[in-house]
Parts: sequence; C-alpha cells; structure tokens
Amino acid sequence: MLALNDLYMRYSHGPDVLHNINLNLAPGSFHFLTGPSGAGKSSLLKLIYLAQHCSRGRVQLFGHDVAQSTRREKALLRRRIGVVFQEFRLLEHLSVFENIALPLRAAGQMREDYEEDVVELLSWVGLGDAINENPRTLSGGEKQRVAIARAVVAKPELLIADEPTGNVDPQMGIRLMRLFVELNRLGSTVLIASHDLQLVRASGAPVLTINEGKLSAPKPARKRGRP
Amino acid sequence: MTMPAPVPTPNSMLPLRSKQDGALFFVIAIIVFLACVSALITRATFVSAANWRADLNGAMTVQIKNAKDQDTKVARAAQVLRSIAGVSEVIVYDRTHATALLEPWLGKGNIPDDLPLPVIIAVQLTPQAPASKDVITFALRASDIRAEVDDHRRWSAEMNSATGFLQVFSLTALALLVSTAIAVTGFATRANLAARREVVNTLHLAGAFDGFIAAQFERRFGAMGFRAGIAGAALAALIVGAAQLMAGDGSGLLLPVFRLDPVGFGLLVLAPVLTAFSGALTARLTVLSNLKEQD
Repeated sequence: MLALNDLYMRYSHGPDVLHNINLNLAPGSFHFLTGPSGAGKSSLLKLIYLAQHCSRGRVQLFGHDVAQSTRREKALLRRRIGVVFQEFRLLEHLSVFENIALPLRAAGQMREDYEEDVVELLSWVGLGDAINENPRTLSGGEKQRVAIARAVVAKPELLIADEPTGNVDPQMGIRLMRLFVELNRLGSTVLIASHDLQLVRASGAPVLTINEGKLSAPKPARKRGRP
Repeated sequence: MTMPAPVPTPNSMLPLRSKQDGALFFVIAIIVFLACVSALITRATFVSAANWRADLNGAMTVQIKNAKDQDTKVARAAQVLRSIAGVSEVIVYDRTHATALLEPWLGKGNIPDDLPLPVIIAVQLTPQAPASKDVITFALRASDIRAEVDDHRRWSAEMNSATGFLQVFSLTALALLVSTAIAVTGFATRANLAARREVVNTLHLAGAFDGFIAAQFERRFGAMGFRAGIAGAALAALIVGAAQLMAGDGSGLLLPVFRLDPVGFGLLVLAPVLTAFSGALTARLTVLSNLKEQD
C-alpha cells in the first residue's frame, strides 16, 4: 500500500525536516501517528498525500513509484487518498454539499451519481440541516465534520487525517472515530495524526511516533483487537 | 424532520466574483475599444490606399498647351486617344473648364479671352490591359500633336510611400494593442490564481487533473473577455458611427475613409469572440504553467 524508504524531506533550501524515514503500511491497516508539535507529523502526511516531494529517498504508493509517475498518474493516485486537513481547507464560496462532493466532481462524476451518497453522509455526520449552508457560518467542529465527510466520500483506499478530532466534543470524536474504523473495516488503510493520547490509547491501534523528524518503529497495540 | 434539498450545482468551482474583476473588466473593455478603432483605421488605410492607387494607376493626363488651332488639335488628340487600345474613356477639359477652375481666384469675368490656358485631356485606362505612357506619346506624335503626357508616376511613388508607412504604423499599433490585451489577461490570471491558491490547491490535492483546474479559469476569463469585448466593441461602434456622421461625405478626399460598412461591422462583431478566445487561452496556458511550476 505505502512504502517509504530512506526518505528525507526539506522545505525549499531549509534544513531536513524528515530524516531517514522508513515506513511500510499494509493494505487495510490502521495506524496512529503521534509526536510533539513541530516533530514532522504534518510534513510526513504531506509527503504521503503527495503535496510535497522528498529531497532523497523513495515513495511507493499503491505499487507506483511516485518519482516516476507523470502528473496525470499522480492525480489518479491522489483520487485514491482521502485527506482530512488540520486547517479543514473548505472552500467558502461553495455550499457544504458542494464541498463534500468536491473530490467526486474533481474526478469527473455527475451530480446524479453522487447526490444521494453525499446527502446520506451529511446526515451521518449530523449536518443534514446544513446542506446548503456556507462553511463560514459553521462552528469549528461542524467544519471539521464537513472536512471528514469530504475525505471519506469517495471511499478512499488510504485515509489520512491530521488531528481529525481536535475541534469536536468527545462524543462527536468517538462518533467520527467509529466512521474511520468502519471505513477501515471496509478495506481503507487509515493513518491518523493525533495529539489526543487518550483517544490513541483507547483505540488500541499501532502507534507510530515521530520526534525531530525521525520515525521510531511502530509500537504494537496496547489494547487487543482493532480500534 | 425532512432534510432540505441541495441547491443546484454551480458551473464554476471558483467564486463568482472577486475584487479584481471590475478593474480587469474595465481594462479589457478599453483595450478592446482601442483595438477595434485601430483595426478599423488599419482597414480604412488599406481600402483608401488601394483606391488611391487604382485612381492614379488607372488614369493619365494629356496636356495640350496653348497654340495656334488649339481647338482643332485638342479634337484630333481626343480622336487619336479614343482609338488607342487600352483607353476606356477620354474626357476633354476645354477652355470653359479651365476658366471655371480659375474664376474662384481671379473673379468672374476677369479672365481675358486671349489669356493662354492649357487644355487637359483626362484619359481613363482599361484596368485589364491599360495603354502605356509610351504608346500614348507615340500615337500623339505620329499624328503631329505636341502634348505632355503625365502618368502620375511621381505622385504614385509618393502615395505608395505615404500609404505604406500609414499601413505599417496602423498594423504595428494593432499588434501592440492585441499583445497588451494578452499580456494584461495573463497578468490578471496570475493575480487571480494567486488569490485563488486555496481553491487550486484543494482541487489539486483532491486529484483533479490540471486540465480540469485550468478549465475553471478558462471559463471565467473567456466569459469575462466576451462581456468586456462586447462593451469595448459597442463603444467603438458608437465612436466610429459618431465620427462618420460628423465627417459627412467629403472625409475620404485626403484622409482614410473611416466608416462602419459591413466589413467594419464584422470586425466589431468578431472582437468579443476573439477577446473571449484569447482570454480563455491565455488563462488556460497561465494556469497550466503555474501548476507545473508549483509541483
């Protein structure tokens, strides 16, 4: 599914922010990524969802060597990844419905093919009444739920979430985690970056820890079974 | 509780309006206006130059100076000229005409009968196979008529030089305006793209192809170019129409004829279409190049 080998990354001409990263995520796995602020969690996620290039090393995604892929192939790889951005990245001139449908529309799907799914998902994340709302009118937690719905709407093979429960109440946090678990059960590989150690421990999923740009070997789950 | 139905999907994934749109619309409309006026001037220059050349090249003047039996000589000369192959029409401007031409300066009745005046014969040539100056001169000499034949060559050379300069000048102005329009659209697209970086990045990371993202900007700038093109062309039509009314019928004597005929009208109709096409193409190329730079 995902293989990172001897990977280094830097922004522009700055120092390396990721050092010698080696990581393999098996299809259908569920991992948490933790580490202090500035440790490199977001940078690592950006590399995985193809928003950044590595300065050295190799990224293999769904069996494709990213460095060898054309722009069109990279776009097709991105369609297989769902991302929940830490800063949401909702488009404020589009309605909640249109924001969630964005990956499907970008992939060339027609509205009649996805309308029902989007409406159902909106209802599931508890935003059925906000379907035509502008994201500016939503609270932080509601925005986060819209961002999550957008990330999962295309049933991605790899779901990446950067602090997905950071702005929601514990009850909604648990509900959203259940959504990730459900997607994982349906076959999606899930990687969640989180500061919420309580949530991480409660999940029982393997934990990847990053510190000063260096990734330590995954710690096994503390709790038996899947999260 | 029933959920509200989602509102219809907008065509563009870009915000409908941005702060720069008004200023950009105005700039494009003005450039289109200038380009339209410049195109009409260019066309008028070409048409007038062609007419002037045809007038000069298709005619000669035969001058018979005052001499004994001038009237007889003129009548004979006209007869000889009419018999030459390649001459389509011969018009004699006799003493009466010459007197009429002088009267405004000398006053009516102030031209003495014995004042020597030359007689001019205008010779219109057949456009397909015009008679040459040498043929006409030889034919007149053969009939023992001393006359000066002028084929306007000196005037033609000067006219060609002047109209050539005018044509190059107007074409250069037109090319500069069109280049400016393209450069402005490109610059505006880049500014718009910078303002819409968030939209572009989100679409990019959602797996949209470059062409899909470029199409959003292409539609936006194509539509704006069309609207601004209509405004600019309409303004040009208004100004040219007014100029045509004010100039009246005598304007074409020395200056290029600046009028809104079917071809001129066609140019104005074409302007918004070309502006839309140019705007869309420039936006597309700018976005594609910008996306490649980003990666």
